[in-house]
Amino acid sequence: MDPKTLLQNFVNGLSLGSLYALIAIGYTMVYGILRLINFAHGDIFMMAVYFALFFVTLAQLPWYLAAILAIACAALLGFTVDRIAYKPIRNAPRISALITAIGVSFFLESLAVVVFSGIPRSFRTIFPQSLNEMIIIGGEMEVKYGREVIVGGIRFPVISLITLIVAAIALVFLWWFIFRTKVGMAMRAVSLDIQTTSLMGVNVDRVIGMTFALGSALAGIGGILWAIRYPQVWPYMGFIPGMKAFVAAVFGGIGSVPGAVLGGLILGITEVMMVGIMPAAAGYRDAFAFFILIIVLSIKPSGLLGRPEIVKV
Amino acid sequence: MSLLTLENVTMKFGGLTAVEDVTLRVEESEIFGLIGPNGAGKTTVFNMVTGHYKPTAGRILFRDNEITALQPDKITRTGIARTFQNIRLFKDLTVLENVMVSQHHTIASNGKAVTWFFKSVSRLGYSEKEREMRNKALELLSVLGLEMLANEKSSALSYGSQRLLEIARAMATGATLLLLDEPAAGMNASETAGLVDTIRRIRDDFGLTVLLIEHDMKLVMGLCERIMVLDHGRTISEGVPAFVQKDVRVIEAYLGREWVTVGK
Repeated sequence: MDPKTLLQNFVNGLSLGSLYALIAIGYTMVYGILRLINFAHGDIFMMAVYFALFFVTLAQLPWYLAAILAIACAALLGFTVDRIAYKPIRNAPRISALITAIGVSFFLESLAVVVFSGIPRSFRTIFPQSLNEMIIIGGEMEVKYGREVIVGGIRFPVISLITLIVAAIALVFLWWFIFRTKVGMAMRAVSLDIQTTSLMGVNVDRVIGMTFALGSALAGIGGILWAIRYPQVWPYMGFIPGMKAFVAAVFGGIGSVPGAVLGGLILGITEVMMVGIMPAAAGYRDAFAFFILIIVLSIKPSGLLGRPEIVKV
Repeated sequence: MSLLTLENVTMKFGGLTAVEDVTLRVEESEIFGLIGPNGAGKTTVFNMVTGHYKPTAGRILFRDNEITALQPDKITRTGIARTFQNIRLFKDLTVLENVMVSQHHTIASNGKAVTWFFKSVSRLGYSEKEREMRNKALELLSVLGLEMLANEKSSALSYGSQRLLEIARAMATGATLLLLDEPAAGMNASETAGLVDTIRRIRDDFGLTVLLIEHDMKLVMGLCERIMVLDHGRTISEGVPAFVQKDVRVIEAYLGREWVTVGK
């Protein structure tokens, strides 16, 4: 691979990775607090995309307003899922919560099929077309047969750059929220010891609800950026990104927010690089994520930044 | 009116009766000791008072309001806070943060979740209160002699300091009744002596009432104004230290029946 293609792939990989990171944070935050893998997370991602789609097509809202509203709705949906499905079984064995999460995932997918129909819709015309145009840096312009042709130069879509910027802003906000606000402090306390936190007068259910809302909002942001990049919207679109983000979260060390970001970025970059190096194996890109997961877990079971759980005997 | 009242409280776990028909009254601003051999049900009493367990039978009243079936966080907000036999600090948070978590509920814990979120993010009218919280937390830390350690991770503290921090954290909830579960466990003799002074001082200065569980008899007899002795979940003796110390049933529970006969 020449340096130009390498850089091109790197930018694309970084942007894909930051999408994985946005989704992975939702998994890791909920796990950090409840020790629950929220399998419905990928479906909240999907729902957010549908919300954005309908806000533009049915409600005729401008795209930026639709995006903000869709993200807020995703947050509300996450909060509601916790209230209805997980809160009643908070003290049940962990396996019950896990099965409930799978149930919620199936429920949301089927709900989407019934309400929105299973036929894929296009997201292409929803957001400004300029987002999908290519940015070209460097290189010389030549005129051949009356058409402009760019020779050399690094190219990547505008959306890659926007994804990176949006993801960076979201991550900075999240960091600030967790480490600099009072609610964030309560979240950290809950993740360390849920019972003691409630004994210190903190309304734990509300803090947990807030965690779901925040994680879902990030998934919503990820979903919309994803749909601009891959503009096919259908009820099962959340499954693969959700699974890969889960891989990223486990890979980085589940329960650790920096771990989820790191895991997402590494996964995105290696995935794009692998396709770049071996274009013939492009069909295996999804399998590749799981292959990485197996390797990492066999070497470092707690993930890159995860802390091994010390079990007292 | 007693501050805390337990009326015929019973706690059963399946076939095991951990606490049976216990009646207990703690008066305002006294230091009350709950003692008894291991497994007597002392911590179970604490767990019921703080809402962690729901009693099988009986009622618990705080300032004449029933708190028997309330959620732990609601009970704390009525004014009861506790420390733990096995230290349960938030290990990854700093000393100051540990105390501030307890003040969490003192601002904007009522109202809708959405407003709560936006207030916290926008910090409208918050920064003033947050500064107050921080100052109050630092003040509490200095009362317990921990102000130098405010920015250390709580797990880096010595065992004795961690116990004091648990007391500071419980006080920060705004509690008027402190439940201390073996506050002197793991402390050396000088630390224990300091602890006795500290407990008296916070009682006097902050107008607190203290209910404590302790195995260190010297501490209990020197510090507590009244004592209740539990054995196998039942009350076997109650009264001032001098009375309890001489009570045959107490000696029997701790040392066995033979000891009583030999002693006589």
